[in-house]
Amino acid sequence: MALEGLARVDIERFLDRAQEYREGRVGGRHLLGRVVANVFYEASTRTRSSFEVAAASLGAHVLNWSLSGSSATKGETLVDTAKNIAALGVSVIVVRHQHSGAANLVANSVNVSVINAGDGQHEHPSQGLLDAFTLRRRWGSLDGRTVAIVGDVLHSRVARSNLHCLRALGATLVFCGPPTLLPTHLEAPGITVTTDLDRALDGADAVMMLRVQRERQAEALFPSPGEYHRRWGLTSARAAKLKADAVVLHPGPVNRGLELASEVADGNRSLILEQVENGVAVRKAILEAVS
Amino acid sequence: MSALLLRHGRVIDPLSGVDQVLDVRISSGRILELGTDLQARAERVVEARDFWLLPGLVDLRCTARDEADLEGALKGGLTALLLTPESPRLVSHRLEVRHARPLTRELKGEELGEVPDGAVVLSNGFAPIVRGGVLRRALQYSRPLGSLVMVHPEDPTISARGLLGEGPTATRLGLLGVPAAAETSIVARDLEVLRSTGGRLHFSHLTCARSVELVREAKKQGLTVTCDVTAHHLTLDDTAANDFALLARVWPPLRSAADVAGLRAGLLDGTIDAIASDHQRVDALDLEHAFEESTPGIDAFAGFVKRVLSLQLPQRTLVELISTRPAALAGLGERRLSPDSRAEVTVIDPVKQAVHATITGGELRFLEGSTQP
Repeated sequence: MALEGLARVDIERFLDRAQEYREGRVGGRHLLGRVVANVFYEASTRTRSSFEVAAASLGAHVLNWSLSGSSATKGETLVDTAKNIAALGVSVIVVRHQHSGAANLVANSVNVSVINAGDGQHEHPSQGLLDAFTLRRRWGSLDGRTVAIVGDVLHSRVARSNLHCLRALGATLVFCGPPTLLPTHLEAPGITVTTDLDRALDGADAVMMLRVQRERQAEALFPSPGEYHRRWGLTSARAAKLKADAVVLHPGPVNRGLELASEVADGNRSLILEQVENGVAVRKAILEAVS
Repeated sequence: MSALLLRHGRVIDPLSGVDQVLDVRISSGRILELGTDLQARAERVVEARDFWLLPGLVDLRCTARDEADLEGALKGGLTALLLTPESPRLVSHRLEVRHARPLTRELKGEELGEVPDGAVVLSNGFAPIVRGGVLRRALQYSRPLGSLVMVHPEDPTISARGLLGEGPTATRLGLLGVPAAAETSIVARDLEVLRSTGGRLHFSHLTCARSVELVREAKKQGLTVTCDVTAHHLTLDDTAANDFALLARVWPPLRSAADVAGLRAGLLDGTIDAIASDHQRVDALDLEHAFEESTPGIDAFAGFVKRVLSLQLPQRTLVELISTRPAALAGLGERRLSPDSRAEVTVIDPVKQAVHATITGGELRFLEGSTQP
């Protein structure tokens, strides 16, 4: 449901199991004969596909319950929809919704396992875990490492899940973005907040660039894509100044030339494709744990 | 009309300066007499030992849709309601229902609403008045009429899509925060307009400590401003939204503990004139959507007395805030418990922090533990 409040040992248990899947040390068709329902109120290709691949390779049948727009426009409440899907006899509901707290509501209204695949601006737990997995795989441990999380932190569920997860695993975090896209009250022990990207990148072992939605410009949150790229974009020049072994992550899909320069996204620091690859292993571990 | 004897209750009536244990005899809709050890006649007796007898509670702001809401109000101890202009026309013989008139046409905040003779309160309901010039005209126009101009102070361009007072809880839950400035900037603007126009300005449901400071300062300077806060904003802070609890899905939004403390201070020093319920019934289906999609509201009648008693205010101050002063603002005249005044009485059990009985027009409308009062 959320990574907030999860203890380090619990997170590590997930990551260890994901590691076994990643290395191919476990196969298994743990979910044979079960149905996993993907219920996505918000368009998402990669998260949904990742859950689908993970579930299918564990032997489950995947039901893609497609919805466009909100439940309200369909004349059915979210609770109604959830109960209907549960009544089909599914074992797991994977839910993505545009509003914070939607997954909690679904979980509270049905008797089947529910996985939060992203709820509004709240959390995106499987992304947080796969980011942690990717970094741990690279470094062995996150203890003492510094991760800069850059961009639209205000609207980012990825940022919130990473906050809880990476901090629990011993990393220090630096949040950076335009002052209009940083939430208040983010400061805490082990967390620095700055609007100065060069300061945020100085000493960072990893840089996680968050996706910026272009419509934020219309909400007067920043003046133009060009200016955004200049101040908060990870350009090749900035990437060149990073620590020698520093890596770059992005939850995808990348706005090339906005938050991330193409050369950096495709460069040798980039772990973006590996994130996608690891996502399947992590989601297998999650599916197995809840079913 | 029935006759009633309320026995051995503690009568707390700020206007008459009474605070003592008395019997109260009610007949033909009026209070007949007060005294110690009144002899029971052929009348119904309500034992009120250890209970408080208060002038009937008045709700300065609530939204009622139908008879079910009015029933809830009586159970909640309320004897008179001033309804928001969003409420449908309701008529009741069981309790006093007044309707605030729309301050602007269709509450759009553009053209002035028509003011019938005798209109006491003009309100724009939950709709903000974005254009300061419209508020200025409303205050100018209503000044000779003596009407109260009741506003919901909000700059919707600052509150934007916000759902909860800006703070650590909003950030953690990923609910967009509503900056205090969404309210305080309009309070400051409106006070400056009032300074130049005169008239009677009333702020509904203030939520920010800073708003209370602004009103306190304005009152000191002699501006004719009044304000209310809700019982839930006095007893809940933003952390009530933890786990996306829909209890916290209210508008205006819940704010920090420091704001709650600021509101409470405003009750004690007289800056705040009334505690309102701001009741807006929440239907079961409204609870089946995510926080953002669910309709804001709170079933406030039911918990009203419990919330206000939990504030532990001096009793006299409490009665002024929930009866005497809102009655005066709503144009209901003096709320008293004295011979010949209208028999509007709320009987409260201070230990249970609950309503024991509600009497309007001399009739027992609600009695705890009895289905047929």
